[in-house]
Amino acid sequence: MSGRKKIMLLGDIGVGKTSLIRRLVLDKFEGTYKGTLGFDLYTFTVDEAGPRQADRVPLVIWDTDGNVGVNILRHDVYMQGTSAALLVADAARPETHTVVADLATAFIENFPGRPFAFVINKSDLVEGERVTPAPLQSHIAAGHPVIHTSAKSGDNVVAAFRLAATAILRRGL
Amino acid sequence: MTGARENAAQTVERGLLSIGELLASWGQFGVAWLDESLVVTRTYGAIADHVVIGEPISSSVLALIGQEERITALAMSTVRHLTVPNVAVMDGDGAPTRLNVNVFYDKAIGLVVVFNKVMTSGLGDLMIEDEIRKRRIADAELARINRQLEEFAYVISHDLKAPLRALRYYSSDIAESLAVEPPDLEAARIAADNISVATKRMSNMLVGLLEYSRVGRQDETIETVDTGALVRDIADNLALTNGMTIDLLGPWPTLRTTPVPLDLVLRNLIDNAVKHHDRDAGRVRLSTETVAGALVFDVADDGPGIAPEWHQAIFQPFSRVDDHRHPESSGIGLALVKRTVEAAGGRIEVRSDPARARGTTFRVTWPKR
Repeated sequence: MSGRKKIMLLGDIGVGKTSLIRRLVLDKFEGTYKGTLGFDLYTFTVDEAGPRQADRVPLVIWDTDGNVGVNILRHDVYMQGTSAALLVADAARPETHTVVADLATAFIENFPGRPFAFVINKSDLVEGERVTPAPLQSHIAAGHPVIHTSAKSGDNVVAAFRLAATAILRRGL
Repeated sequence: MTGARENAAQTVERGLLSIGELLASWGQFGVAWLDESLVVTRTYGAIADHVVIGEPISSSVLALIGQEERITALAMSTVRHLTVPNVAVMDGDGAPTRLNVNVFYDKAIGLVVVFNKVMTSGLGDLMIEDEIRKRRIADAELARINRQLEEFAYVISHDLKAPLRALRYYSSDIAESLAVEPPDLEAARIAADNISVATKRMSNMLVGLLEYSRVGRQDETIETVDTGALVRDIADNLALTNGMTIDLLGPWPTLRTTPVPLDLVLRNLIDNAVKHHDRDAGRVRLSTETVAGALVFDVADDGPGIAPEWHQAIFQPFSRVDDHRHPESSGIGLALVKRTVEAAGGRIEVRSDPARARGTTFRVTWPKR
């Protein structure tokens, strides 16, 4: 058995899923958009994922094609063995907030008990106070965390994946 | 018979093995064999080189992480295979190999993982590149249209103001002429005539502007056109003074082209050559040159000529060299001609230098279809 834990990056087209993972793994950001075709797999190990310094969680992160939408959650072949999910939205595009809210509902239905977190990416594009998007309020009230990131600046990117790794570790998934 | 059948079967088997070897050598597919604990026992094909023998399959095939229970269950299930399609392991900036990962169970062979390269990935990349190419073309077209819009905004705000201003001045002239005692009816009549000229000019400008904006946006049908008959028809319908002659020097060929734009170009150039001639007697020569793929024709006159500093400006909308002689003229004719020629994929040039000799020649290269 591999010790790696599987995380799915889900969200609408163009919300910056690939940019987040490339910032995490390669510490790079490219302004040009190129859609993900199929599924791209990346590896990354999150250090200090738990209270002890030795708490490391090696991950295999699935970057998905934003076109697949909620349907992916019903495909065992891709979702089998998923330990957690990051549901990514674009801070500047409110329609993507509704997409992640729908994804959250479907994720809970198909993978009860598996942790997920909302990632509001491109926070550098929005000025002023970071506001929790309205469509996510009920999920957040139920205890699912939300984190604001910027793949462009790197702000909170590692923290977002640490959030997932910590939840995996805590639940022994 | 049995021997012959066995020989045939062996031939097919050898053929299949050869094809398998060929595909594996091309990196199109590879195989990893697993034991019951899902540990890799051996591999085949370069595409399976990354699979570590002696280790669990999911430690080197990331797409199978989390699938271990399902793989184990294949031996007991009626479904004997599972496929994780179209995955790529990204470990840097390079283009990854995109694979379908197929796990099969067969009683005789056991568990095998077959990797095959996804060809649609390349196709997908091509489609994206094609999309980018199309978008670049669309961007360039958008930039061109924006430039035209700016040009139009300038033309409308600047050039159309002139006849409007004239209307205002002449209207106040009429008011002043009628306010004196006794009223100056002759001055009022002259001002009214000038108003008529200014409104006609403005009307011509607006019609011309509309025509100019339509160039290249209308679907023109391609027909077989006898260009000789076309220029003769244009020349016959011009109101020529007695001293003005038009010479048709051949050969004017028959070609496949869009007749309406070609007619517009020829008609405007010939009409200009006659209209802007400064003497009672003059000559316009219409001639062609044979060039592969295009009709090259000259419209040459022996008029006053156009100074070189005007050679670019004359193709701008509403620019007029001899403003005073044709006050109702819209000044858009040559702009319309140039735009029409370029929309057809051709080009136009002007040759004239009044300081050296009289006359102007417009040379048009009109592509054949």
